[in-house]
Parts: sequence; structure tokens; C-alpha cells
Amino acid sequence: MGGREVEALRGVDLTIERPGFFAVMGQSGSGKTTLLHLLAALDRPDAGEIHIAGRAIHALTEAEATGFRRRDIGIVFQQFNLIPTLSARENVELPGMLAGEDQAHLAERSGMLLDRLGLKGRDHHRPDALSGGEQQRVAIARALLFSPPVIFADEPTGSLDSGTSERLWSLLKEVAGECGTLVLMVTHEPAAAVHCERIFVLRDGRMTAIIETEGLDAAGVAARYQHCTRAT
Amino acid sequence: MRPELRLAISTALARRSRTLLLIIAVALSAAMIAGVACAMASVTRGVSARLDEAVGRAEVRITPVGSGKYLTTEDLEAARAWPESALAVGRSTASIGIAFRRPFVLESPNKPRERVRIECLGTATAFGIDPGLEPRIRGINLVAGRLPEAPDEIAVDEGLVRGFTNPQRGAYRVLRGEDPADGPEQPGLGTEVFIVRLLRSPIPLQIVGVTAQPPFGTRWQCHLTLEGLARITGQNRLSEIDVVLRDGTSPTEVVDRHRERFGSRALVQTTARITSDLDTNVRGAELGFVLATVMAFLSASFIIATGLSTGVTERERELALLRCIGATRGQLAAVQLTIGAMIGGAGAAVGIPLGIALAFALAANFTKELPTGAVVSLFGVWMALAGSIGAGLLGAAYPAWRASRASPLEGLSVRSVPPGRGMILRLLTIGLCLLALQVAITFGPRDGQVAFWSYATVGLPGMFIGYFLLGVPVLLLVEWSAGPAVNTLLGLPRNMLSRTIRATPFRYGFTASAMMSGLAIMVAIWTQGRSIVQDWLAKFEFPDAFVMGLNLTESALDKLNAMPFVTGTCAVTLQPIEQDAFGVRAIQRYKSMFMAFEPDSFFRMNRITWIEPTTPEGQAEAQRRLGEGGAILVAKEFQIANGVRVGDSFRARSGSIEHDFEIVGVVTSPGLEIVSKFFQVGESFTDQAIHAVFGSRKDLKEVFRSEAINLIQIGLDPGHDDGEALAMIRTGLLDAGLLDAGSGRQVKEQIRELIGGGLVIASSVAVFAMLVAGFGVANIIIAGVQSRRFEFGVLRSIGATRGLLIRLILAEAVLIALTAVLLGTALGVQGIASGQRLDRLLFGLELSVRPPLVPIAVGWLFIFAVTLGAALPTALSSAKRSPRELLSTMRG
Repeated sequence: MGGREVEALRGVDLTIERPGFFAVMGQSGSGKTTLLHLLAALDRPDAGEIHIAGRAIHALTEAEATGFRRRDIGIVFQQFNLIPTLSARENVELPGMLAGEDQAHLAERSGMLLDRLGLKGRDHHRPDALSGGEQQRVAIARALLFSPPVIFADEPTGSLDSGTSERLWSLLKEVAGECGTLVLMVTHEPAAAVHCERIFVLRDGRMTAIIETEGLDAAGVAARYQHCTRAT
Repeated sequence: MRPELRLAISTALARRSRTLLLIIAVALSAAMIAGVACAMASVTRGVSARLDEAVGRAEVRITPVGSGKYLTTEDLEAARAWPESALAVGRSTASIGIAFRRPFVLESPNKPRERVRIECLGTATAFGIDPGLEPRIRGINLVAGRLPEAPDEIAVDEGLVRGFTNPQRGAYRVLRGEDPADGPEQPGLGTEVFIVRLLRSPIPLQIVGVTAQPPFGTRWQCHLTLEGLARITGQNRLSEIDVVLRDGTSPTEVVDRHRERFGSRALVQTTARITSDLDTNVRGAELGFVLATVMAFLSASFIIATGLSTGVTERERELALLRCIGATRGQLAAVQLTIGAMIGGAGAAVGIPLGIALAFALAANFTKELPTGAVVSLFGVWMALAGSIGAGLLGAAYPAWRASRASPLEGLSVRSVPPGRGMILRLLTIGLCLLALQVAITFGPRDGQVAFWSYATVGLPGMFIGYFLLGVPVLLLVEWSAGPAVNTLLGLPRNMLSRTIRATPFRYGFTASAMMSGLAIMVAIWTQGRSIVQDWLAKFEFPDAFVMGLNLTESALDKLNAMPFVTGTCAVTLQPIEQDAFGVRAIQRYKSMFMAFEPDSFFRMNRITWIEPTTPEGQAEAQRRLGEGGAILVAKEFQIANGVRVGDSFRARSGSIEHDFEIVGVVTSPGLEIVSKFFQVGESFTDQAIHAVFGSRKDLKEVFRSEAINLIQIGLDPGHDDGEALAMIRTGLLDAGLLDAGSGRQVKEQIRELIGGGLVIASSVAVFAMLVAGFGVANIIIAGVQSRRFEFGVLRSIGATRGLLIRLILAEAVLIALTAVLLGTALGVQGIASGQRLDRLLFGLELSVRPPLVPIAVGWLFIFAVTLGAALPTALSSAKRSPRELLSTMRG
């Protein structure tokens, strides 16, 4: 980075064996975003292995990685990252368009997803005509187009107000539950992580703790997190 | 719909105004190419129509060799007797004086209007035809009446009718004592004209038909029967015999079989060879057109490349996102290429019809020069279409490559990567190497052919690309030298401009490069044109006056010498000869002219500047050798292009006659060949006679067996009025085979007007090129400003004022414009230097480099106007937005 070599991750042993809503927490510079990029085949590890749904992600060729990102996972970004010149519906259909899917099938699927996420009647609006929460829901719909087994969300509520954020976390939890999807969210907010069933704590590129959130509220998660980070 | 197409359409529509600017840039290029192609095709059709009129259905033509020679009726009978001959028709040609008497209102200054009777006088080329057979071999375009069938009948052309209806001063004489009201005021069917003859009574003829004026015809034509013309000339001779062959006969074999019978006095050739000369000339013009098309669309592709690259930079985040969600590199590249193709296609769709419409509008305004009207050139349309789409694809190639290299991680991060010095050095190195290559290619070879072809195929495109690449290093140089001054002038914080330019030098540099070609073309065109007028035309010393004719005689000389204002005469004969020295071979064949004169009178009347020999004794000896025969002088251009020296041998060929002459001197051209070409003596409109050798009439008679006189130089008493003298000469020589008379000053003026007119047309091409660049660069500048809105948002949020933002953008535009004018001027001057080298090698012309300051200044002003004009509205629009709005352009 900037000409310097930085070891962003140096000891992460992470296993998730079933669908659900999970979080990766850590302070700024802990390596959580780097971890997500590696899992999403946006980057390649210098050492180690990554297996998702039985596929060795670390060994994918560039073309295989592209196809993996298109069909096998969904990504939700902090900045929404919708194409500003396309409508909400077209943004949702974009991965299918790139894959050459039948347009009628795409239209049906995107309509259903937008409806499900509370965006009925907004499908022809461009991103600049949608609120932040609406834009992020469009991004989630896009991630769900091919019903992938895994969805990665990188600080998905970082640009939203608290009320909208709450609704979005609940939505992601619903998606994980109803669609049988593994949703892995990167966050630094205990209020977000409390919605997840398990939290993986990163510090200085290492996974230092796992927090089970059952029975905890946001304050409890925050206290447990601080305890984990102080202890190490 | 394919995803690449959908994405391309949405991207193009999202930036409508910028896409439109790029389309307009391509459309202007396409319009220029299509318009020029249609204009060229229209001219070619006119010339071809004239040639068809002359050649008709004939497959073989027999013509006498040498000026003043004729064929006989025995030759015609011999051709008719060929077993292969289906039809053989003879034609005679002569120059005649023709008069028409009519009522006229005479207007003179300080005198009342007077109704008089006048006799209009003119000369025409008369064709003696067989009225029964001529239409079977050649169409004659009759607009009224019929062809003559009796010796006292004549068909005149529309030009003659117009000329006699509105006679010019000096082209008529007043008939005192005749009834002014008698007769019609203009010639037409049933009216009478008179053929004026030397020392004999005029012959009245009745007009029975009016023919259309031939394309590019400046000389009147009329048709009589063979007998009718023989009665006028007193000679039963033929000027040409045309033969139509039986089906299945090979014209080439027929020519080979029967050529010998005519020996060296007649040329037997297939008419295909005659028309192939036109085809060769057309091919030459087409080659030049193809080169011009390549340059025009190369410029357009530079503009598209820079414009789309700016768009790719602007959309880096979007491209990264697409990679994140599964777009392949190929798909991203395909989107850019699709946008390029769409811009090219749309540009062609708008520009080609516009260009064709312009050509038709031109033809409607120049009906005399293009009586056959405008023609749609399919070749030109295809070139414009292919060029437009090619420019779009070529221009999109680099942005496509850049888009395909978009990295998901790098694109989504906010890290900015400073430009590498290595790339700038590479651009500098490659650019300079290409310029050096162009110089080596042009100035290295001594052979004109090698130099021309390597320049056309490698040197010229390489030079364009080289200057384009130098845009970035030159911009940095301009920034280093002029940046601080501009920074201070516009009240910017210290080093702000410098830091901005150095952060993204490629965008600014290539924007400047895109602007340069129009200015370069204008510099080259105007410098070349000015050099031709000042260095070439200015050096000619034309005679005081001259008369031209197809077959003047000694009696014409006597009549002239008898006129009181004539101080001397010199008869000159123009004998076309063939040689291979000049021109671009495989494109055009050039002929030379053997100009024969009496050395004593010629050197008395002309101020000749000797190049060799340099001593008076040597020059006197050369003159003496000329008079003896077997010796020639050559023009300086001939020597430069051919590398000949005094003492070398020169072989002249005319038909089957070949003769070696010794070169005894080199002189600056006295301009006679220019005069003869200007008035098209000999009607060889498909040959290019650009260089002359000068010999004696003694050699003309003995070697080429010709005694005709084509040109008579006349010395005039300086105290006598030119116009009056010429009018009297015309009147006196009407019956002596006169074609035209003119003064040297008049010829120079008319050539200067011709060159000036050509310069205007060529300049309009340059203006078009600058408009193309203007639209394209406007797009790039707007795109560049818009892509930096987030950066502007950051500046505004930390305290930069709106005014500072505007001044920063304008300062950048000033540096871009400065770079563009430097690049464009340098490119133009290098182009001129190369052109001069080729002029010297190919044609022996030596022209100097003197770029005209006013047009260049106008070009500079235009570039500044376009650049600042594009930057200011966008700067104002960006400055109007709030910092929050500008910062929000980072999202999504």
C-alpha cells in the first residue's frame, strides 16, 4: 500500500458450517475488510486456503473468480455502488444481464425481489431518486438475484441513519433465515452485530475471539467485545 | 439485447451532451470526406463526359503525329478496308474566325447611347463531320435543331450563342453605314454567321443547330460538314479517324496489325489507352483522397480516444463495481468498443448526407464548371462510413483496454496513484523517435518515388502519432515555463496550477494533442499556397503579349510585325514529348514539352537567367549550338528533378520518333509551358505537361517534321495600351487560326486567382478540421471538469471560493491551448518542410518555408477561443454547486 508492504491478515482460522447471519468485528485496520475481499474472491491470499461451498476460492483463475462473484455470492457495499445510469430494476438485473440470462426471467425475478424488499413502484427510479435505505435495499436485491448460498456485506449501514440501519439489519437477518443464505457482515458497530448469531473478532490481522450473541443485547455485545479486545 | 449494448447505450445516454459533441466531431469529418469525394466524382464525370464525347464508341483512333500534320481520305479508305473494321469515320478540326452581325446599343462614357450595327468576332474550334456517320460513332448533344447536312450549314454551341448575345469590349467592331435595326440580336436557328478568312471574302453559313457547351469548355465549338470545313480551310484533310471494330475483335491486335501502314506520320492506338490516362489520373486523385481520409479520421479517432478515456477515468468506480459483480474484462472492453462504434455510426449517419448535400449545393452554384451536375460517389460514401466507424473503434481501443484493466479493489478504494515518470519518458522517447523516423524517411532517400511512398505510408501517419504522444511532455514543459506566470495572472495560490497539472498530465496533454491537427493543416496549406505564389509564380517573366493557335502560319507573323505597336515577334512551337522523369509513377504519366523557337529572336525578346553555363562565353556558345541543331536547354526544375548536367544526353520521344539531344544549358523557366498549359493548347486534358526543354525550330522541322506555330510571343511598345493592342491583334488575326490572345500580366493574374481560389477551398478543409477538433476537445474538457467534481467538492469544503475554482479551470484551459498551438504549429511546419522536399525531388520545385502569420494567428485565436469557451460554462456550472453536492458525486 503506497509502496509499503502491509500484512493485513496473519492468522485467521474461520469456519462456518451452516447458513445464518454472522458478523466480523474489529477496529479500523484490524483486517476485516481485507478478509471480506479475500472471501469474495476480490483478492488472492499470499498463503492459506479458502473454501466456500466446497470450492477452493484461493485457487480460482481470474475467469473462475469472475464467475464465482457473478453467481455464487452476493456483495453488498457500504457505498451502495449502484450504477447511476440504470434504474433500480436494471441494477438488480445487472448480474443476470452480464451472465446472458433470459430477459423475461430476469424481469420476473427482479420484480419479485424488489417487491419482497418493499420497493414496489420504485423499480423504474434511478439511484439518485432513491433514499439511502432504498438504495441499499436495491443492492441487497441485486445480491440475491441468483439466490447465492453466501452474501457478504461490508459495513452495509455505514452511510445510513440509525432507524434505517435497524430496518436493514432486520432485513438481512430475515434473508439469512428465510432464504437459507449465509450472510457474513463486516461491521464495527455492536448495534449491528447484536442481530447476528455469532461474532468473529479480529484484531491486528488475527482472529482473537468468537462471541455467541444469544441472550445479549447491544450493550452486552459491546461489553463482551471490549473484554475480548482488552484481553488480547 | 446483449448486456454490452445495453450498458453502452445507457452510458452514452447518461452523458448526452458529451456524446453529442463526439458525434458532431465525427460527423464533420464524414461530411468533409463525403463532400470532397462527391465533388471529385462530379469533376471526373464532367471530364469523362467530355472524353466520351471526344472518343464515343470508337475503339481505335488514328491521329497524325506532330503539330500541323493531317490525315487524308486515302487513310480513311484504308481504315475502312480493314477486315476488322465495322465503321470508320473521319473528322477534321480547324480553328476558324467567326462573325455575327447584329443590332447593338453602344454605350460610351461622355457620349449618348447610340443604336448601331456591330459585327461580333470570335474564334472557335470547328469540327468537320460526316453527318450521316458521325452520330453512329459519337453522340453530339444537340439542344436545338439538327446537325449540318450541307456545306453552307453550321451548328454552334451555347457558349458562342451567349458570347455573341453579350459581346465583350474588344470582341466586336461597329459597322457604320448599315441599318442598325436589321436582324436578330442573338444567333439562333435560321440566323446567319460568317466565317472570316485571310484575304478572301467571308463565307456565310446558316445556323441549323445549337449544341450544349462541353464540360469545362472554355473554347467555343461548332460543327460543319467535312465539305463545308474543307471549303473554309481550302484543304481536304482529316484530323482524326475513329474506327469501330466488329464484335469479338481485339483492339490491341488490330492496332498492332495495322500500325505499320501509317509509319511515323500517324499514331494508331486503342481508345482504351486514351481513356486509361483519365483513369490513371483519377486513381492518382483517389490515392490522395484516401491519404487525406486516413488523416482526417486519424484526427477524429484521437479525439474519440481522449474523450472516451476521460469517461473511463470518470467511471472508474462504476467499472470496478461491474467487475465485483461478475463482469469480465472482455465485457468491459466490449462496452467501450460498442460506444465507439455507436459514435462512429451516428457520426456517419449525420455527416454523410450533409457532405452529399454540400456537394450538390456546390454543383448548383457552379453550373458552368459542372454542367453534368453533382454525382454521389459511392467510393466516397463507403470511405466516409468506414472511416467514421473505424475512427470510433480505433478511438475506443485504448479506453477499452483501460476499462478491461479496471481492478475491483483499486477502483473501489479512494487511493489515488500519482502518474509514473516512466510513462512520460516513454511517450517522449516514442514521440521523438517517430518524428525522427519521419525526417529520415523524407530527407534520406534521393529517389523521389521511394521518398513519396514511404512518406505517404509510414512517415505521415507516424508524424501525426508522434506529435500526439508528445502532447504530455510538451504540456509539462509549457507548465514549467508558462505555468507560474499563468498562476500569478489568475490569482491562484502558489503552485496550485502546477500541482493540478502534474497530478493528471495525461488528460491535459492528450486534450491538447487532439486539438493540434486542424491548426497543423491550416499552417501547411497556407504556407504551401503562399510559397507557390511568391517563390514559383512570381519568378516567371511572361511575354508582353502572345497569341495562341493550333496552326498559326508565317503570315500571322507578318501581320503582327506590320502592326505599329509591335516591337518584335518570336514564333514558338509546342511539341509534346514523352519521358519518365517526373511525377509519382504508377499514378500519373507526365509529359514534357519541346518548345522550339528561333534562338536569335527568342533571346532578344526574353530575359533568360542562366544557371549553366555561368560565363558569358559559355552562354554564347550554348546559344550558337542551339541554333545549329541537336542541342537543347532545360529548365532549372528539370535539372533538379532529373539530376542532369550540361553535356548530358536527353532522349525525346514523340510517337515513333526518338532522338537524342545534347543538353547545352540550364535556364530558369521562361514560363512558356505555364502559358501553354494555361490555355490548353493541343487539348491534351489528360496529360500533364509540366516541364519543358527548349530547342530550335530547325530541329523541330528536321527531327519532328513539324512547321506549325502554336504560340507567338509579342513585344509591345510600352507606351501603348495593353487592352487596345490585344483587341487589334485579335481582330487582325481572326482569320489566321488564332485561338486566343493575352498579356503576360493577365495570365499571371488569372493563375494567381486560380491558386487563390484553390487556397480558399483548401482552407475550408482546414477550417472543417479545426471545427472537428473544436467539438471533440470541448467534449473532453467538459468531461474532464465533470470527472473532477469530487475533488472540487473537497476543495470547496476546505475553504476554496467559487471564483478560485473557476480561475483554476480556466488556467488549466490556457495551458492546454498553449500546448495545442505549439504542437499544431510545429506539426504544420514539419509537414511543410517534408512537402518541400518532395516537391524538389518529384517536380524540381524549390519553395521556401515562410508560414503566413495572419492565418496562423487566426488559428491560434480559434484554439484559445474553443478551449476557454468549453471550459468556462462547465467551470461556472461546477462552481455553482454546493460542496455537499460535489462530494456526493463520489457515491453510487
